[in-house]
Amino acid sequence: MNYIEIAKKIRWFLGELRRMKIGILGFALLFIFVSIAVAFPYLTNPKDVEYWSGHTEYWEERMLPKLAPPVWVNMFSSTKSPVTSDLKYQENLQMLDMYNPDDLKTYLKELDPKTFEALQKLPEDMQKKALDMLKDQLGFRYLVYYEATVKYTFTEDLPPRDIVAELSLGPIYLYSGLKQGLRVELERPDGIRMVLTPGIYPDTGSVYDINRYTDITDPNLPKIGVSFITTTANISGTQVKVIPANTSWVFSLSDLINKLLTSSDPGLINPILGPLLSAANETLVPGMKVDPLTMITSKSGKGMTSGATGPLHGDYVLKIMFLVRVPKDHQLPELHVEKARVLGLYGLMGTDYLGRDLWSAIIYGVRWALIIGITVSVISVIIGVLYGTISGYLGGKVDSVMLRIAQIWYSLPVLPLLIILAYFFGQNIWNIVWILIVFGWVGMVFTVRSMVLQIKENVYIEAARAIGASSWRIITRHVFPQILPYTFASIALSVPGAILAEAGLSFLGLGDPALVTWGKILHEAELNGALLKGAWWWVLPPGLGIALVGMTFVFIGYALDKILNPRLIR
Amino acid sequence: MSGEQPILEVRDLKVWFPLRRSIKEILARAPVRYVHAVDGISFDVFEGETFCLVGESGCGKTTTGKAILRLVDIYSGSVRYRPTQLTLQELEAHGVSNEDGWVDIAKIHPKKMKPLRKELQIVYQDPYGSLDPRFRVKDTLEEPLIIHGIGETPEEREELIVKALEDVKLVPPEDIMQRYPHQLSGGQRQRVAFARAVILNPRLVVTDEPVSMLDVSIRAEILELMNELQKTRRLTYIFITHDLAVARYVCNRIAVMYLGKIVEIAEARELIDEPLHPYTKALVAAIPEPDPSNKEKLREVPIKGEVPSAAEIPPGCRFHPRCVAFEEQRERLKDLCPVKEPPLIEVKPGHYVACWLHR
Amino acid sequence: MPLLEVKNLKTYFFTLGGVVKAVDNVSLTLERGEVLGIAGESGCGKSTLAWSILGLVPPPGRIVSGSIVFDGIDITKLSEQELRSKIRWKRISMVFQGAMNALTPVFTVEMQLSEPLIIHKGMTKKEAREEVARLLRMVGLDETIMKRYPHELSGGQKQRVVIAMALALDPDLVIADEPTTALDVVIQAQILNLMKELQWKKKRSIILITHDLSIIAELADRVAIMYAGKIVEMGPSSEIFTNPQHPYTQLLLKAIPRLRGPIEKLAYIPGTPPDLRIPPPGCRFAPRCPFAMDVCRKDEPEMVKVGENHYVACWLTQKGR
Ligand SMILES: Nc1ncnc2c1ncn2[C@@H]1O[C@H](COP(=O)(O)OP(=O)(O)OP(=O)(O)O)[C@@H](O)[C@H]1O
Ligand SMILES: Nc1ncnc2c1ncn2[C@@H]1O[C@H](COP(=O)(O)OP(=O)(O)OP(=O)(O)O)[C@@H](O)[C@H]1O
Ligand code: SF4
Ligand SMILES: [Mg+2]
Ligand SMILES: [Mg+2]
Repeated sequence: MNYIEIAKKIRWFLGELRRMKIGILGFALLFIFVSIAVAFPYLTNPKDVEYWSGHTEYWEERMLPKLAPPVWVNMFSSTKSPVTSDLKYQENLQMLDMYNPDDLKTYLKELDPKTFEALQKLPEDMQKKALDMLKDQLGFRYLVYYEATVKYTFTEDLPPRDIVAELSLGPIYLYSGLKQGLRVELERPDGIRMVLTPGIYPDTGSVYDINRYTDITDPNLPKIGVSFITTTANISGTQVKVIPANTSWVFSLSDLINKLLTSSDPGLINPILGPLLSAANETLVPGMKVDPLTMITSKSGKGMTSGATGPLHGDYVLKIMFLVRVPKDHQLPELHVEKARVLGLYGLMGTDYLGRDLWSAIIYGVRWALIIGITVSVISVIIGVLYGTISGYLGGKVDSVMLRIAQIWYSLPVLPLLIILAYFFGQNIWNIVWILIVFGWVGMVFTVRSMVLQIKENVYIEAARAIGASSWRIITRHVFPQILPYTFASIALSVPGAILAEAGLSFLGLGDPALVTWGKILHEAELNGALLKGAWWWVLPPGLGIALVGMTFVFIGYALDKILNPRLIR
Repeated sequence: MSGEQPILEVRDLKVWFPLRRSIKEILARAPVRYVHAVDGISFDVFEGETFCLVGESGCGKTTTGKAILRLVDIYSGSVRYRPTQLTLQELEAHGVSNEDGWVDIAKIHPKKMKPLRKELQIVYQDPYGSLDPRFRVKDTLEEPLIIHGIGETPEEREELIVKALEDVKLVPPEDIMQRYPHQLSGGQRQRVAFARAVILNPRLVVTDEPVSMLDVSIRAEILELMNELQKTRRLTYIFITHDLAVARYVCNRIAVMYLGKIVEIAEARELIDEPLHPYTKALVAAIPEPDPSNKEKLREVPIKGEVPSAAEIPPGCRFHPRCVAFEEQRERLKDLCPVKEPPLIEVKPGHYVACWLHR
Repeated sequence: MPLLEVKNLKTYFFTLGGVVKAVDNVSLTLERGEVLGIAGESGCGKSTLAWSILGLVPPPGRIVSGSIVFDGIDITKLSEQELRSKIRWKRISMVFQGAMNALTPVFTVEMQLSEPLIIHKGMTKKEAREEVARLLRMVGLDETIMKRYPHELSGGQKQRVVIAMALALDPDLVIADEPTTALDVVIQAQILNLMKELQWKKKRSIILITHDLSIIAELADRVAIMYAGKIVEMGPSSEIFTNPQHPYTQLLLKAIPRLRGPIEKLAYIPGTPPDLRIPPPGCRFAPRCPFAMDVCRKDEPEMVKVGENHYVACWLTQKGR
């Protein structure tokens, strides 16, 4: 056959295909899947799948909501939810150098007006001396005030899952006796303001007033989930606790309130939630299940804790304030916001229990589904066709023996064996592929063999022998071309089986641990009770993906069978 | 014709097909049972003649034809064939020995038949089944050329193909060549089959009922083509048919087969006009003719019962359970017909009969 | 009144590739007790004509127009239900082409034969068995065959069983579609003898369909020659065989090899029958006819009477008139 012939065949095939809706659909879907598999790096961040398993820090840093439904659920729901998005923030940094008399005066003016007054009355040189003395008494040289204001405008019907902010900070030296301050405030659109950091302190006054802040080392802070990574630094021979430079610190509103509520410590709860609860005339009963964000974003009034009062729309302002005191000859801290974000619905496919973006995994799953499906089916079909052809064509004793072997092989209980073998050898995807091939090829043998037996009886086969054609020639020129269409169809039709088998093994936890496949996603979903948690978006897409790829190949196989099968041609 | 040299001598040819044995039989070590498809036949075919094998379905005609081409395994007997000098040399190169220019096809290993395949060809009954539906006419005709290395280049081969197509009157060859079998009529397909058979320049062609699946209106066309090919290509035919009337038109000599045996061989006309064997007589009597007066009377067919199975051949003369002559002369023949197999005897010059009535 | 009168019957197959005009404007009559032979090449529409008469045209075929009046009833107007209960088997039966290979392999001969008797004649099982035995004897079979399955019968025996089935309900008209094709000559002669005897004993009307004119000569009173969906010549058997008028009939007869008499060169008709989806204009035989004239290729010849009961559709005969 020359190229013109082949081109003609292809044109004919396409012509036939055009009349077969299912075939077009199948090939269109295949095209889409292949495109997805190829374009994977452009459709999502390849790091997502690289760090899918065993890299929690990667996902923490991505700071995605956990078990978040996909964004498009809003399209199908009358009650809209906020979508995960970055929030606007403002930063404000002020610094006083106590070695600078003007700064020190400012400090005194704000914090100790009496001393300031008295100081003002002193003559110049006395004043200077007094300031000099004062600065040494203070115990620090710089006073750094940092304020991050995050604004969230709430307009949806359902509360967000969380409001988070990631800050980069440090170094902050934690000498005992040198208090370092943290203050977090939240102001609701209705004017209710809560100070989220515990401690008794004046609510108004100078930002430089350390008494307005909670000490970073306050033992109550870890109780509400606020903690900092510390190390020790060697400063002129003494060991000092320090929050090192560039420490990343994440503030989670939901986390804070959850911890607060579970602490069941009225001494802790009342100062923080007091303004809100008293305005709403609500009380918290121990053991009551309260969703923090629902409570915080609901209109104040009876039933606010359960959200019965309805959402309170408007701007919520979260203020995170640090007052850092830096002793002489110590490094100045750097503070700034890395990210501020409201967590709600996320992405096209939502996230799982670790806040991993399921979209990346699903898209990546296409690749392996295709690779596994096609490799397994192509190789097993080729083996099966060769085996069946040899058996059928040779006939006689060879055929009997080969047939018997195939029958025994076929009657083995495949699933248990598959599980056992996958357990022993399956740690790698290619081992699984081989195992699937080893059990996949027999299915073909019987049909091919009986086809060959039938083809062999055709008079034109004997006619070929009569003109002196060798067995090899007869098989390649007269027998194979007839099996070929069936072979193509079978390849297509056995792809779904292979995909399902791999998915099955992965679902049982026998998959390649280093790879993300649909089966594995399902396995993790099952392991973490996705359905119990109502996380349908975690289960349905991989399940549908398997079904859809399977269907694609069934359609293609059906169309190929219809088009290429000579029985149906005429 | 009988003055000519024989090209093929078949002696006591037997083709038995083993019957499938049940597990029980295999365990009991029961002997293999056979279908005696061809059960000891002998005849000569002379160069340039058309030799007919006639008989009812299942009597072993096709099997005989295939045995001559070594397309079935031969149980015993010899099929001696006289190839050309060139082929003899080729055979010798393959390690096949000859006796005075004769080779015994029954003794050649099938794999070493290749040189002979150029000289021995076959045309099948079914013009729809004998061509690979996926092969264009050109591919079908090119295959034998490629196999036997005839024609160096595609152009040379094409020339031969065109010539063969013209010989079988398939014109224009350029158009026909590109067609697939399903684009041809039955008659055209059978012509392609003939083209394939003659393209290697064979000497002996077995034609197995080449017209019985064609419409009456085109049969004569194919028969005429055969005749022409015979003349231009100096062919010898073994013409297999179940239709004595057709045989009468195309054959020089006719051999009548019954249950794997030849019961009568004679010059075509003699056999039909003066059949000697009771079976031949029945066969001749059974043939309908387009004569409207036939409807007034029943057709007397001197035969009883039905053909027994080829696996259970009656003892003695295998025709005796159906033989009317034996029935009539039972007293005289009772020690012969049911007991001993009648030999094929030349009762008149060139007229052989295997029947106890004629010896 | 004739037993059967077919008028301007058109039966077409509506296939994807086009409309196959398998029976195109066919008219014929059949008297009581008459045997009509219908002959023609493969694919000329013989079987389709037979199916039409039984109202059994397989899809995608259907009767497009025309009438089939059987004993005063227009069959084309009957519902499937009426056809089944009143006409088929009871009054018109058919030996289908290849029927002997279509016997249900899992039923014994008795079961196959007694079923119509029990259903249509309301016989008890025992009565049916006796009737089956009688039928088998009638077609020259031993009644012990009753207990056998089809694969235990020879071809000739199977064909006899099929004929017995067709005769079971004593119909007025039997259509036999290629009843002896695929049988050996000896058996064929026996079956033809059987049909002759049955016909002599009990004057039944028979339509005998075959491609083999020799077989028609054995049985038919009248012959219709079909070509490409049309009847081209129809007349008494003696006329058709001795005095054929249509070139197609003439050539067909000359193409038959004979067992007796001088060996003349056999005639053949070059070319192939037309594709019934796109039949040629004019006379359908014109492309293969050695006598074709210009008019043949343009206009269709009508059926013309050329003798007693002898009709021909050919411009040659029309010219001379
Ligand atoms: N390959 C085979 N295996 C077993 N039995 C066979 C085989 N080929 C033929 N036979 C049997 O051998 C016998 C002779 O068969 P063969 O085909 O030669 O008959 P034939 O005279 O050509 O008949 P027909 O006119 O039907 O073609 C039959 O009984 C057939 O069933
Ligand atoms: N089921 C069908 N679908 C489409 N076309 C059909 C069908 N049955 C028959 N035909 C066409 O109708 C025409 C007449 O067919 P029909 O079987 O009547 O011919 P016939 O004369 O009986 O031939 P044969 O001698 O081969 O039995 C043919 O061209 C055939 O291809
Ligand atoms: S040998 Fe006897 S049985 Fe055989 S054919 Fe002759 S007469 Fe009949
Ligand atoms: Mg045969
Ligand atoms: Mg028919």
